[in-house]
Amino acid sequence: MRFVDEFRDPELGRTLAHEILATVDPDRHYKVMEVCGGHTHSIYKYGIDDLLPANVELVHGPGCPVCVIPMGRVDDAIAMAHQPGVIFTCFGDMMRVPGSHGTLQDAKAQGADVRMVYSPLDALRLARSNPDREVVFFAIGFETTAPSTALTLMRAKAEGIGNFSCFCNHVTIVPPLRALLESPDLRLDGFVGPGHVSTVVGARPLEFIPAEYGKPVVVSGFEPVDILQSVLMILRQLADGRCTVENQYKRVVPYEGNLRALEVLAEVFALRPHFEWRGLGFISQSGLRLSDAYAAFDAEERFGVPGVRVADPKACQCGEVLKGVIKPFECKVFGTACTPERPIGTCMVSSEGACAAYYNYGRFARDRVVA
Amino acid sequence: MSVPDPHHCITCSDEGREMIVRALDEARWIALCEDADGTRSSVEVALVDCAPGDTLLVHAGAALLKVADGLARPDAEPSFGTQVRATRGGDPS
Repeated sequence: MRFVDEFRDPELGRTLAHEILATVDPDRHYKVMEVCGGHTHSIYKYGIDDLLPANVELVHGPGCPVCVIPMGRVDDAIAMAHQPGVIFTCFGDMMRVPGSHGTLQDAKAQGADVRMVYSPLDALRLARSNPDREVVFFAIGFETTAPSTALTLMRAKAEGIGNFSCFCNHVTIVPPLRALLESPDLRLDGFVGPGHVSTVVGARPLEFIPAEYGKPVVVSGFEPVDILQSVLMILRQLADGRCTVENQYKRVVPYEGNLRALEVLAEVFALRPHFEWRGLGFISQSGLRLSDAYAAFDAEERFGVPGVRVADPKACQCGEVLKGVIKPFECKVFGTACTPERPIGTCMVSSEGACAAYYNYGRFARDRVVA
Repeated sequence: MSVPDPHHCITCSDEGREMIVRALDEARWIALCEDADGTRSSVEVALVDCAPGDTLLVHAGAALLKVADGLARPDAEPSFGTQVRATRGGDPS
């Protein structure tokens, strides 16, 4: 991919690591949260953690869309999938997320027609080619994925496709960040901000973090040099006593976002009063529902769902992992009862989940190579 | 060039992929796009202005933006890639 080689240049990485070492105060411990699951994945894939001084700790945030889906919503999805005549469609990882009585994959094995799609447009195609069936799309994800769902619904409405509906679980990134900043469990010094979410919403919605909480934010790309440079920019702000939103990823992220995408989101979606996040509980105005203009496509209205809140299994500590309170290897079932092949918690399901990243790249303990 | 990553989350589709526009149906706002592995798929392009040959950042089958040409090579200077705004007042600093 274009320019990827430059952004994976080992020499640049080493230079940045030395600059980070020269910037940090050796008597201070820094906690920096990377918001996106994509960042978490890159950090462990490329060993970025090992290039940082021991007193710079990366804390993994709630930015993996699969990881934050609570069990009750999976149960709702399974209930819909079992409805007669339904073709239930979802992204691949959602097939393996456990509800209280199994996964969508289990439902498929029991006879439900559950199909994996790569985009909501694929689900709409299924609806067109199966006019005698009801096709439901399990919509998940942050502001990066929501425009795709919105455009598909606009297309369905324009074409008058009546057998297509959407089980909407889209969430927004700002409210959970505010919830984390209000959490007494966690003391953070700065944020590696979301890269691709910011292509849609821009960097401006993150300005509340320095303005109200006095923490620096650097919107970051996903390559190793991007992440190292973003960490350096955060540490430089802290060293200089500054506190702003900076955009390291300006080759992709316009500061104001994609205005056309924001208009589409405003037309198709409306904020829910509150939405449950795995590990974080109910967060006000953090989830999206379909707007009144698109209510006819709302699968929850069309089919009805149990809507029961389900507590996570006691053994699973995904909540603490998502809040950055513990590292994945500190969970009692990490790598033993809970593995990517047989996950108990969502963070082990998605490859961008913190637990899966630690497991796949062999981070089973606290040992680190100090730069 | 990118190497397919078996551990990366593509199926949840919250991963951005760079894809090149190969053909464009402007009337329907659909483009046939190709990724670095040569895989082709239909992409919603209603949110971007694009033409065949353009590179798009695609999430879950929708293009979110056109990736600009002429990107700077990264270096170790802290000024690289920064667009600094003062938190209060919005002036670049």
